[in-house]
Amino acid sequence: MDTLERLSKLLPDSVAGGLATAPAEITEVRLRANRPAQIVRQGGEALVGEAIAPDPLRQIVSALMDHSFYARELELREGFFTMEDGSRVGVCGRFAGGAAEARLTNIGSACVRIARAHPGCADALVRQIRTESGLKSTLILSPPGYGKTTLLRDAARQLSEAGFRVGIADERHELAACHLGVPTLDVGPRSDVVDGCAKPQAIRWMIRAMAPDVVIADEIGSEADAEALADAARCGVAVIASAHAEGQGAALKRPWVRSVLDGGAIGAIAVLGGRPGRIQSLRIMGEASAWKPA
Amino acid sequence: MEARLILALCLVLFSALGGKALADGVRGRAKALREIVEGLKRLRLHMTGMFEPVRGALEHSDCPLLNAIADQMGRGEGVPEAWSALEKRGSRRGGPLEYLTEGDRQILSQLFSGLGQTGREEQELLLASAIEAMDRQRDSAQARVGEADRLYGALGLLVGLMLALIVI
Repeated sequence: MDTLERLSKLLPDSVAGGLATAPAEITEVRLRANRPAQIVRQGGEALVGEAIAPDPLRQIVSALMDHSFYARELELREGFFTMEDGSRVGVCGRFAGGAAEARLTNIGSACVRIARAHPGCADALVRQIRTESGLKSTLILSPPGYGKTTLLRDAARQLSEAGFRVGIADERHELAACHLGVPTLDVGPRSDVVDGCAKPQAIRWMIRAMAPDVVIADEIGSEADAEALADAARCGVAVIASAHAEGQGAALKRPWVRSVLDGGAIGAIAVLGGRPGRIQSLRIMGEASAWKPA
Repeated sequence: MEARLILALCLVLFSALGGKALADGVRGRAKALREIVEGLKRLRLHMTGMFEPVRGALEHSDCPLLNAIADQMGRGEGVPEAWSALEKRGSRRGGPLEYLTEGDRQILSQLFSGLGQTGREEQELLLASAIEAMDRQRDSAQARVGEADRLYGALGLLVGLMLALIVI
């Protein structure tokens, strides 16, 4: 059962009815205590149904967590947890404790971002970064919601099908949506996934244990992540990673991006924009002009 | 006279069997509590050691009562609701709660009212406290097994003999 089906069974009929209309277009379902649900579709959104009281909202989120708060505790410190099909449930509310030990105590709202595979969405990317001898390491940049994870997943599948050994560092369970260590989404026949582990450690493990041709990691965002990418490049392993940024200029303002680029770990930068999943530009490092889709 | 002797023998036999049935009840409780304690230990391992979601951990506990709660959760219920439903129908003969006393159930109710709903450390404490309490119940039930065998066995036989004497 996918996340939308599960939500339909948990939500009041007035909201579930809204989910039944063109479900394939739904990208997000936002639930807020004492307010109606917000259903976001490609190209629009609407408030639907009656207000959801705080206690039913807590029960809905608890059911989405399989009534297993302890199993999601570490994820929740990041403000979200991931469903079995890779959909992400972000939560807001009252957190107690210090910054390092923040613990969710009351849920005020939840945002369910529906994950969907789009086979073929990485065609252009894979075409551009493949070389005669292998692959160019690539950093994919975009603001949230532009399909970085979907693109990475399809790139993993395509490269794996093309014969590359793909190592996936899936810290947040979104790329492969592993269940008990086994991918539930199609990431290709030659892909190995380290699930739920911090990216730097996962990348080093994979290089040592699985000898991948390429390592894929989502949402790189720290010096430690950058150092692990640079280390992979030094070991001769290609890297495809994503990061939040408006574009190359904005990304370069982050010290860790600059250190990765200066270290020569990245051979290409792809920027997504316009609409979700669309590559706005792809710049090969050392070349003056960027590739842009027709 | 022959018929009376046969009747007397039957009375002795049935009374002895009645005594044995009462002793079996005590033995059944001890066995059920042993299974629950072992099941709770496995549940703790799967939940707080392997971070398995609560339903899967209940399924892997290898304990009929905990498995029954997992089955109930398969209908979309949370742990407290699943326990509540099981309590209503699980006490019948052959059910997973058949031999449990009110005290045993209270410990389980306390456990299931919070199972899965807090962080790992709290779950560890909740499970440890339930295991300790159920372990105490099991020890006392186990101590009663030998006692009950002797008591109900002898009582059944005595009642049977008395009835046999009356009949003869």
